[in-house]
Amino acid sequence: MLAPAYWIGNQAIVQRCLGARSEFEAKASFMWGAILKTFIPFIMVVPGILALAHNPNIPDADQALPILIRDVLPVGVLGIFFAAFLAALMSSVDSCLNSAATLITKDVYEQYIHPHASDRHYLIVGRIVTILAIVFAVYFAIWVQRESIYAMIQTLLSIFQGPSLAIILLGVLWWRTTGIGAFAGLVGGIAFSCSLTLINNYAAQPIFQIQDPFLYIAWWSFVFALILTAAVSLLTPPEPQEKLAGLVHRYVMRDDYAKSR
Amino acid sequence: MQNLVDGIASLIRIPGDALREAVVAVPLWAAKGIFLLYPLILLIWIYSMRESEVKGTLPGTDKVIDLRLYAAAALVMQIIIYAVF
Repeated sequence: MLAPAYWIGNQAIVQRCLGARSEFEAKASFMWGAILKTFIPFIMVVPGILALAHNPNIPDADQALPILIRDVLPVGVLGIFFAAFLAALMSSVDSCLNSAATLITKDVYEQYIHPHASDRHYLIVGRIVTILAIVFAVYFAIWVQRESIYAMIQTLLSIFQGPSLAIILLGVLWWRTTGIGAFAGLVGGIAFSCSLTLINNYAAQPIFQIQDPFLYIAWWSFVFALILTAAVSLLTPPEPQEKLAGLVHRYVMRDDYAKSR
Repeated sequence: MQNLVDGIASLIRIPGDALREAVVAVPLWAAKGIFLLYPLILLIWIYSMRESEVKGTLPGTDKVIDLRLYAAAALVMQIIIYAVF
């Protein structure tokens, strides 16, 4: 659930896709990404196995890779490795910061707080949001050190990813989905996943009997948001056809069929 | 508050336990088969798409690229990985 939600609906991924010069290039970039993604389990797991073979008495799992790099790589290669590591890190961080600044500036600030301002004004707001996001990220990174970063990231993602994937899939595949239905599904789904997380953490006996409950939380919040979005959509008037043209599966297929004839 | 949380957890646990028992009863080979069915269905869907949706050229080149080959490569790798491991 978490992987498709990231690769289909994550803002940073979607924004990269929207930045492509043509629809074909966007499709091609996704195909290339899909091939590279196949190797990620090997890239993540093999260094861990090597680290364990190299040093079976690692005191802290998070130290496995740094110890392996320190012990195995020669001095020159170590520098190249860290340069590559920092380049990859900066690439990911700037994508996240860029997408966060765009979301808040365009979808919140411009739409609800200060519409019809100049581009320069929005540019300055975007930069301020970027700086605030960096400050928040630094604070969050220090705070999160109390437990596994991986578990914390996945727990946080599990709260939002299930509902967001549900409304994206329904919005793309089902013409009857409405804006109000999607909003209800998103808010209700997030509330549901937050409630599941709290109940699981604070109940005397956790409701999910696995080490990583976020996997189940993401799945059940997806199912809940899917049902809620469909139910509310059916209770609200359908969106006009011209608004959905080119966006929803039914109308895209119809347009393609008409063009091919 | 603790009582409320424990009460809700007990209620959720009733359908949860029933579901867990039902899922555990599914043999592992069947679960693996269902899991592999997902990329297989995607593969069939991709190869049933019209050529206009999957073929194109990148800027600066005339070479026609068929994205189905790349999609198939990614999906076949997934199928092999999950079938073997």
